[in-house]
Amino acid sequence: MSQRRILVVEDNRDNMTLIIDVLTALDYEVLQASDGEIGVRVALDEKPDLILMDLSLPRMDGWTATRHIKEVLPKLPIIALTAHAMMGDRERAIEAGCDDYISKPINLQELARKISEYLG
Amino acid sequence: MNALLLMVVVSSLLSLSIGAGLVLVSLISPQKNHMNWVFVLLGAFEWTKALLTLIDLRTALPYGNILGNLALGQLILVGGSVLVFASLVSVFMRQNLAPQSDSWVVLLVGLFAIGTLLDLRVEALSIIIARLLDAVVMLWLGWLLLRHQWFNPLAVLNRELMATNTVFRNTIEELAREKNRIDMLNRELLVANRYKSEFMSNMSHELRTPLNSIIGYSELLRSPIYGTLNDKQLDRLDRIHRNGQHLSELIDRILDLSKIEAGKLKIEPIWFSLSALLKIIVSEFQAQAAIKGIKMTHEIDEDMPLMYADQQRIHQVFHNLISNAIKFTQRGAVHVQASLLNPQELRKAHADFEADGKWLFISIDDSGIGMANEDHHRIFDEFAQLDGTRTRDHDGIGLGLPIAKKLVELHNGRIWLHSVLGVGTTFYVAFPLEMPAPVSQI
Repeated sequence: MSQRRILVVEDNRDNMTLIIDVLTALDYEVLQASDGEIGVRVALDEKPDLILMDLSLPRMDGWTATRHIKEVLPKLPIIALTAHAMMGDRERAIEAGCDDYISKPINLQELARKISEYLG
Repeated sequence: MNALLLMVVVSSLLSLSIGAGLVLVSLISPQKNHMNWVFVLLGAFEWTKALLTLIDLRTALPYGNILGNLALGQLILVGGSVLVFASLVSVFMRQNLAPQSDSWVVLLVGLFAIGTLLDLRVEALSIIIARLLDAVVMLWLGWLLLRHQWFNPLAVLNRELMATNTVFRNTIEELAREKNRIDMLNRELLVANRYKSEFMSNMSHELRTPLNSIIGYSELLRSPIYGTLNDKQLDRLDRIHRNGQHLSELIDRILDLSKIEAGKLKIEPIWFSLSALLKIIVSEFQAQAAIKGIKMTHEIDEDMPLMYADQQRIHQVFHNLISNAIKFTQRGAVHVQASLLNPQELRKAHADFEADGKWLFISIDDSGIGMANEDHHRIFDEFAQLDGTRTRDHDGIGLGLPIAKKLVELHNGRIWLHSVLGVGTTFYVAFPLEMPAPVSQI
């Protein structure tokens, strides 16, 4: 079976590197996007197996990007990955079309578990 | 006839009672058999100050009391004098004669006679005029009395009521102005509160983003993916990780409190066993207590009925309280007790406890540093610990108790404490068994 591909949409370089390290260690191929617009383009071009989507992003926010992607690829799982951890943020993410939600600071075990849930 | 009688009676009563005269000239046309009554009535008014004259229309005969007859007589005489004088004048005028000496004599005699008559009549006329003036004055006085309410005992009360009314009206206007002011302040506060919520949300985001890297990398470094570390490096890494976690928890707590205060906390009640929950929490703290050398004991009634509440929030309440008890106790024990009590029994723990029905009652007793009386209420204020001297000796930012208090109150419960400086503190929590379902604040 070929390597599963995960698109990470994240504007913070440090966090991007951290997630890439984790995903690489878990033997996933990682695609990167540093803002919402690039995220949508890469998602539609590359059709990854899963997307980890930060919500506060430059140029186009994660909620909007998620809506655009889900219009074209409704079955592509998108997990919101965000420091918006206050009440109502989970609901907003789910409402935008995200399949799941992980709040920062990320619990790496939780992240690994959720990814494997969606990728089987 | 009836109308006449009424007028006569009313006018006589008026004239008798106010001592004033009243002029009454009536034209009547009585039937014969009524004439006796007319005389009776006139007799009745004979000596009153009323001036009464009735003229029978059939016979043109006047009937009056004394004053009435007098006045009528004067009128006739005056009228006669005026007629005589007028006719004399008209004779002179018609003859268009220059007055001659004998004519002057006649005229002077005539004038003298008229003058004498008039003099007499004027005296009588003055009575009529005086009566009339009397009547006018008395009526005017009466009208003034009624109009201005002089000598009216109710007038004083009325004036007081009017004054009070004015005061009330001013108060109402004052209150309306005050209400407007408060409404305006309220709107400003709502706006400020929204800014505060937005600020909290942004701050939460900004604090969590770097924490994500700190905690994430320290976790990754502990795993073998970057290669292995020696024991000392691992120990220091653990410290970074632990402190990162601590910071994360603090942020969560501050946000919890701001959510509760903003009225945005969601309560999700379920039926659960409070005794089971308390035992779990106690067991969670056993190790921590053992490390400090404190005994952790409990006396939890197994037969307590189930509780309908948000289990996570109730967990948070007792986690905060027990964690606090251990934090401020250096030696001795922390004891947790729970049972179902009625209000009489509750009053033993709290003399002022006023309520009906049964209560789930929990106490957390420690032999810690205790606190002075003046701190008993302050301790539930946010960040209270930061002000006090305890800050230097004990970590924590003093949010545990305010959060616990607010969560207990959201569940219609009560929380209070008893503490003696240097001896220890007991926190009491009580939830009504028959409690209305806790409602989310949203």
